[in-house]
Amino acid sequence: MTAIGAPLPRKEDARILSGGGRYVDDITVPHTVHACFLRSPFPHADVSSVDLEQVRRAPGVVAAYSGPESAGSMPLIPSAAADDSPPRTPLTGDRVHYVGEPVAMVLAADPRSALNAAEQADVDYGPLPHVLDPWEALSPDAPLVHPDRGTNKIGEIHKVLGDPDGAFARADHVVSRQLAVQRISASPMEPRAILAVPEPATGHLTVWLSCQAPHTLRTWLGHIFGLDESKLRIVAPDVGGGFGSKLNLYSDELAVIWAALELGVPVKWVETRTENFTAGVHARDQIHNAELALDAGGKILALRSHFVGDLGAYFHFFTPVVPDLTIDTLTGNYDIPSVDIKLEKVFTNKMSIEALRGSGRAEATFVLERMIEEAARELDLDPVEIRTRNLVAPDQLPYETPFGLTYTGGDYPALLRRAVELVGYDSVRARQAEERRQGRYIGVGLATYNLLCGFSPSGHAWNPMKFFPGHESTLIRVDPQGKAVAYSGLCPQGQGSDTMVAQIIADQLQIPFDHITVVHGDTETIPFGGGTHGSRGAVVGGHAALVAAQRVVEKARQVAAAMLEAAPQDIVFADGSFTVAGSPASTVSWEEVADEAHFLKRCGPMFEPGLEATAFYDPPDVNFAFGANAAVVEVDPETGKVQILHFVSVDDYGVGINPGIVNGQIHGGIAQGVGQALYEQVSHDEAGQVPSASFASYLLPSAMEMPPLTMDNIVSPSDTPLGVRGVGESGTLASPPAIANAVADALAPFGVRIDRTPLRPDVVWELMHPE
Amino acid sequence: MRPPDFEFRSAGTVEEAIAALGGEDGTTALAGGQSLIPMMRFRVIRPSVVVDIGRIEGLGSIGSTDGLLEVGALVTTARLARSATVRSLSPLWAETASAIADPLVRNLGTVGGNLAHADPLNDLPAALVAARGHVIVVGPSGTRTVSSDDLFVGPFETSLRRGELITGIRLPRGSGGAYEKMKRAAADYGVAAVAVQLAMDEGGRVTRAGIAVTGGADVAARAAEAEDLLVGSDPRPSTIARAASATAASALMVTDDRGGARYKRELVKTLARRAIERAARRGDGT
Repeated sequence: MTAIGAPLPRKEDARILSGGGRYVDDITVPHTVHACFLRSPFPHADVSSVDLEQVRRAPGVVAAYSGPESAGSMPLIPSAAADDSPPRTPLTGDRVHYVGEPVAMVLAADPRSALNAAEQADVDYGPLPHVLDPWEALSPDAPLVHPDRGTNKIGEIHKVLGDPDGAFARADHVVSRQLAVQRISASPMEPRAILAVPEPATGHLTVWLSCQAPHTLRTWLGHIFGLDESKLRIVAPDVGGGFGSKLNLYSDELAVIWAALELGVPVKWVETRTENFTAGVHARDQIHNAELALDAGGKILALRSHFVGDLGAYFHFFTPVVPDLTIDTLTGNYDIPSVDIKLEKVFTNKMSIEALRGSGRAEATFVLERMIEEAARELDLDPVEIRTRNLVAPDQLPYETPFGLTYTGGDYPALLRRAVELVGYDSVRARQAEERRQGRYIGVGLATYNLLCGFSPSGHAWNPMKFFPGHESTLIRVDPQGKAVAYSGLCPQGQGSDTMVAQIIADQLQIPFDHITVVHGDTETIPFGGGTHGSRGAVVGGHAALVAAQRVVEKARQVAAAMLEAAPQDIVFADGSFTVAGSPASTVSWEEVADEAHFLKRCGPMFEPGLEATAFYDPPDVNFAFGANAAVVEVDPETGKVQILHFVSVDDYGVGINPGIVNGQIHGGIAQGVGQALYEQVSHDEAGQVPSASFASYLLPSAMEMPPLTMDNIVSPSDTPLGVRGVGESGTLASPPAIANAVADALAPFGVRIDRTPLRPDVVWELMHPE
Repeated sequence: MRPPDFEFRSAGTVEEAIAALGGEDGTTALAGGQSLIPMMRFRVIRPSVVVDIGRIEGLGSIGSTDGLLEVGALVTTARLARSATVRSLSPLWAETASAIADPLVRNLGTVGGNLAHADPLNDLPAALVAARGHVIVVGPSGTRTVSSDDLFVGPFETSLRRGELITGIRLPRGSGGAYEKMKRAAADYGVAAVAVQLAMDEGGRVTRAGIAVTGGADVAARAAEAEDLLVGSDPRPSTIARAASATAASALMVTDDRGGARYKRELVKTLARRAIERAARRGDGT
């Protein structure tokens, strides 16, 4: 039996679930001082003065730095994605642009002393007019977030492909809607955390950082501070969730590093949850004016969407390119020959948006699947039927989208059919009619997804970043006992990729899964890495492990050949032994080979000692995964509360390396989709404050909110050696529109239009009872 | 946990607690800590002295005398929810207790703390008002009994005097109770809730009615007009609908991130109707 596909328990679980995890805050280094930040309470203001005299005199305080005093000696933080990044420094010098922006930093012997001292600061602000609404930000008289740019508009991308104008002119039906995807927060269980440990005597710096991509951030760090990468070490120990929010070195984290270098002592900072809601990146936040052109039979002729992406005040790592992903994924699995998509990106006085599980593609899926549902309603077509008429059929593959993406595998109509069957579509419809007569409102909603993932092949159009390796590396080192340690460039935050990597290697080396240890997250021991994000773990990192393992086997074959006095090409490796073809008695075990490779007792110097190999795997193309979701909801028309009665997810993730892990990934993605559909929202009031900055207000779905799930899969292996497709983000794409479509269906008798999320009880009730 | 500096004292007896609570300004009692500790962590409140009353013996009993249910202040809300005595003598209180927050909070939060905190979103105040219960208060000048109507002064404010401590509650027993709560998510604060306690005669007429609202601007606002509408009536749908409307009119609902005032008023009406219907069905049985 192969390890790939086996439902093995995760290597990580016993340790983490029994409290053995080691997170940044668990790491203690002698003489560490602890940071606390003073943050802007205004969305836009001049920092008139920062008086830290009382702070510096407070018990336990080691140092205190203000932006106005220190910004001049701090480095500018460039964007990794754009050359025209608005200038910013770790502490802001003279003006704040969003609530939560750091203006001063206090360093003390312990975290509580730092916080106590910070309360003694006297900061004066001169509030300035602010802008929060992205459309308003585009108007000529809007307050400017960055006055020297002369506009809040960051840029515009307009793609007109095929003949959209002609299609709209000859269309029998045009369906128009404005649809919005709200701003959400990644809400990782572990907030951000950093421990910067300088070694003044040598100029070395070790940064323990709760992050998703240590090598990428090492390069960025070297770039920002002008430091040698050879003297920088970034370590991501256990990381308690990231979802895209930890692909950054934030201004406050850079301030911590700056202070550590300045003072020559270790500095630690662990974010509070409140800070995470304002100073941690946000995501989504798009408003689409969308139109579908259809013929009389419900065939989609063209899609138009002119949309705005509210990026917030600054560029973090990916900020300016996140909404770009929405453009090319707006046609999903559907055969839509003509498109007219225009994106305007704007600055507002809010925290930046960033990548967040499903970034860009979740927004696209929501807009597309809501539009198709609305088209079905307007054309009086069944939602299943309209989708079936427009999905790319298997005989259309390979299919090139208007945007130039090539789909090569999968059966999208079959995925939809399976979801429809598993949700019991016809019986739900019958029950719906019956329950409506009794004043109960249930609805069924569908949505399909196409997950563009596995970012990104080097030089590929989807890799516009400066320091962003699309490849992945693995070093496998076999010890004299024949057991292996794999140093993977992935940087999991709970995904279980140590298990995935070990399963791939176990099959190649033909050794037990338990004989493989996987190390990740340390730039000192791992050759290089792109990290874990964008559903790339198995798709890119898995292949690096595969190729490295194949190289180790080739080396072992040479050792075995020397031991057996045969030519390497005559050696057969099977069942954990190397045997001369046709001579079953001439055989050596894996363990004997591993021992000989290190101690050369039998053959002498006939080969280079050692048994290890490194592989860098650069994928030839991006990867796609796809699926279909179905949701059944009940809406209480009196309270507006939505309950999901049943949720179905049918996914094609190609070859599943570990069924528990892939199902867990989809399950977790759906949980985040449920959050986007019904609960989560970063809210700003008119004053630019963030009332949602605690879990008392920001609702995160818990196990109690999770619906009964039915999961199934249809496997079409990808065109890669492992046949895998991405899976990490899959659940986040179709679940919000499936749920929103179900709510729209349930409330059809009320003529309610669902054009935004989250569909919280008060929102649903207001839709049903307009003033 | 990073609260401001404070002094911690542990009281072994009610007398020790009273002495400590009557001491310097800014002294507060710590029972289950489910509201106090988060507020201290957020530095919303800054007590100078925290007196742990959680170890005091004798405040953790549930019993009944003379048709009254007696619950000690340190009984946890989880115990309240599953107590057979409470379930049989006051379904309203058992139901309210099980609607509080989540199991982690219920396992530590106490009856006395829930009431004394006087949070308009806490559930037990409305249950106390609807049931016309009393709290037993011990202080420097002895023991007194405070009726539910006199206990709550305003949001986070009670009529307890300096040095006083709630040691228990007394509730009239009655099967005709129900608590209807609307939460957006399982572990969320409620948006609103309505507590109803009805007593009915053999003919099914309401002889006594208690109705109070959770989640308004005031703590556990009593819906007196709705109560009057019900008393003496045979609770038919039309009567219940009028009482539900009166309940909604009696509570001041304000717009916040849980919903607009208009939504909340309609929600209270719906919850009141559902609670009265259930209470009447239960009350019928006694």
